[in-house]
Amino acid sequence: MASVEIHNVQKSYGTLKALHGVSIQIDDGEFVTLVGPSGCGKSTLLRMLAGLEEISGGTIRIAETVVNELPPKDRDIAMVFQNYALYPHMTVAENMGFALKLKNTDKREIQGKVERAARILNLDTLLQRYPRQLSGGQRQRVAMGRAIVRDPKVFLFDEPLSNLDAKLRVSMRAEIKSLHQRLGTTTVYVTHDQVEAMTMADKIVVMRDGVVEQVGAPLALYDSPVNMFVAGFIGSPAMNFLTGEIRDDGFLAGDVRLPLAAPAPELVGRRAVYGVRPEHIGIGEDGVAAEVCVVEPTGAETYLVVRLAGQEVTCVARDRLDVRAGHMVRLSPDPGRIHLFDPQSGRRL
Amino acid sequence: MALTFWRRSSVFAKTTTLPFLVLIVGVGGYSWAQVVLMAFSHLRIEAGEFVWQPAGFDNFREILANELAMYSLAVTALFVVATVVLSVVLGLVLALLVQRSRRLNRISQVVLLWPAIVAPVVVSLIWLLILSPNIGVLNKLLDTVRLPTQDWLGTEAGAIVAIIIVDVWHWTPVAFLMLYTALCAVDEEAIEAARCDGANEWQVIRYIKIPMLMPAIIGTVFIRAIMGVKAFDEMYLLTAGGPNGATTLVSLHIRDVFFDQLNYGYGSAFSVLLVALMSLAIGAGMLVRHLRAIRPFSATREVEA
Ligand SMILES: Nc1ncnc2c1ncn2[C@@H]1O[C@H](COP(=O)(O)OP(=O)(O)O)[C@@H](O)[C@H]1O
Ligand SMILES: [Mg+2]
Repeated sequence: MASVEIHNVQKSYGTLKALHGVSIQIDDGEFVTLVGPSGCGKSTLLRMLAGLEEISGGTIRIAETVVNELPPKDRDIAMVFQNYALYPHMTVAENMGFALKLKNTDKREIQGKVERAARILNLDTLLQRYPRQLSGGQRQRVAMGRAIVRDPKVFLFDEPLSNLDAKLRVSMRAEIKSLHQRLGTTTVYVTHDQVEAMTMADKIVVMRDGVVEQVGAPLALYDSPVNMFVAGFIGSPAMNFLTGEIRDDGFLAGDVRLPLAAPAPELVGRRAVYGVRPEHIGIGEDGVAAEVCVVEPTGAETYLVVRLAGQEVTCVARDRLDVRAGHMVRLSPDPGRIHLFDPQSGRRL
Repeated sequence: MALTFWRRSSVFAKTTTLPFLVLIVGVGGYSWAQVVLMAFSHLRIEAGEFVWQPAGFDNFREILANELAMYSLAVTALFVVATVVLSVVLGLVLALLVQRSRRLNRISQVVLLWPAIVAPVVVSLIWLLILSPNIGVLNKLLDTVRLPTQDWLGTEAGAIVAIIIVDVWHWTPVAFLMLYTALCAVDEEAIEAARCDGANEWQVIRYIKIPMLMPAIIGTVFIRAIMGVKAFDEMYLLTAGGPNGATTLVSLHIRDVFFDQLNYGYGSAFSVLLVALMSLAIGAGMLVRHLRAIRPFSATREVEA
């Protein structure tokens, strides 16, 4: 177990700059997810932690030791790859015991550790199989088993669930989380799926284009995103954005007046973006009128896409609604849960 | 219907491979039948015509009694084992080195492949010049570092070592190319996983790269062994089987009896014997592999996933 400190880390591939000075502090035993759209540099950062990619600038410390120049084998980290990267010529047991074998661990001890890990991951009956004889989910478990057998300082996961079907993904998510609770090993988990990030992490790092946009606990990011990017990335369905002007009696978007808790006096009269999450829009008897464009019932909830002030807005209804496209509904956004952003910089006002 | 579709497609498959089969059976089978027939006959040419006489196993008995024939089998076995081992090991080492040096790999590929493109006649010429006792580079080199020089192609052991070196020089590039190609196809993530698991460079090679290359290594051994048994032209030009017949590979012996002694029956019998021996060797190899099949090195079959 160990803390990880990433300080002003940069990465260039020739002229392309993949990371522009990333700093993240990860405490001992913490579960941190790196989340962001594809190509934002998550894998690059993770591979730099692992020692698979050279560090172009800045420092990385694992357990207080600078590891910039250390090869992967001396960092005591375990990585789980997106495509599992199992050794095809070794059985499940050999795959899981490989790291211990390299350390010249006693055969019986290896066997004991492998069997213990196999029990945790429900792989007991598969130990003598080869990777090609396993399903995707089973391979995923072997990849995790290979990591936990070693009892490393840090676990690194690079989108480990993205090759699994939706149902398996949900169950593996819970399994990884409970595994972390049980072992308490510091974990850095990369994903592009914000739901995975929200449900698993102690702390989320939102990245975009090689820059950290915000770091915080999942609900902190949900409640107070620092900019429109984070606001739109965290939460599903995504936050609605409406442009308009701040007035002292509400927010004027086109000819529609939206509710707003008393704004700071210096903001009045300013152009801004009004952000409201779908789940914070009430649908009922009063409020502003909007025309329904699409109705998407999911069973538990119903998503409505409506037209409001010439812009599309998504809202969620808990109750079953008897509405169809073309109907009019009345919306009342919760004034206490409105986010205001600067239209140019996207920053929170 | 599924059934008719299957039938039709299998008929299609059969008819499309038919011309190929006819060609193989026609060309290969016919000439083979001819050779086997000749192996069991006494043949003479009288008035420009072959005269056939059934000979039973006479030709084979003659081979077994012929010391030079037995010697040629032994020296060929030595030659094949030595060239296969040396060229596959060298090819593997080169492939591993070249793949590691990202910067040099283009140029080293070209340089390393160069010997394979050179025609055997030229190869022999180059090596005659290198090995020549008086003007040869090798002896000059040995002389400058004060090691004993020798007439390489003039002594029996020297000539055997020389043809092995020449063959390895000439055909290691083929082994290199096959292994290098296979190495480039090895899953990079598995190698990275091994590094994260704590493997150093040597352990990555020993536990990951070589096992994953095993199908390619076996294929290369196989091809190089066949090339070794068939090796002819450079040796013919370099030593012509001498000195004292020390480098009489089977191919040289067969050529000798066929074209110089005009002993067609004996030559054919020797060819048949050679094929039988090679089949036996391959069969034995496959049996060993089968018995050791606790580790199916089927990295190539992994690709589906
Ligand atoms: N080996 C490489 N050479 C050049 N550019 C690379 C290389 N690896 C990644 N990149 C670039 O770096 C950026 C970040 O990539 P990556 O870390 O893989 O993104 P993510 O994992 O967040 O999807 C991308 O723009 C990608 O094109
Ligand atoms: Mg990635």
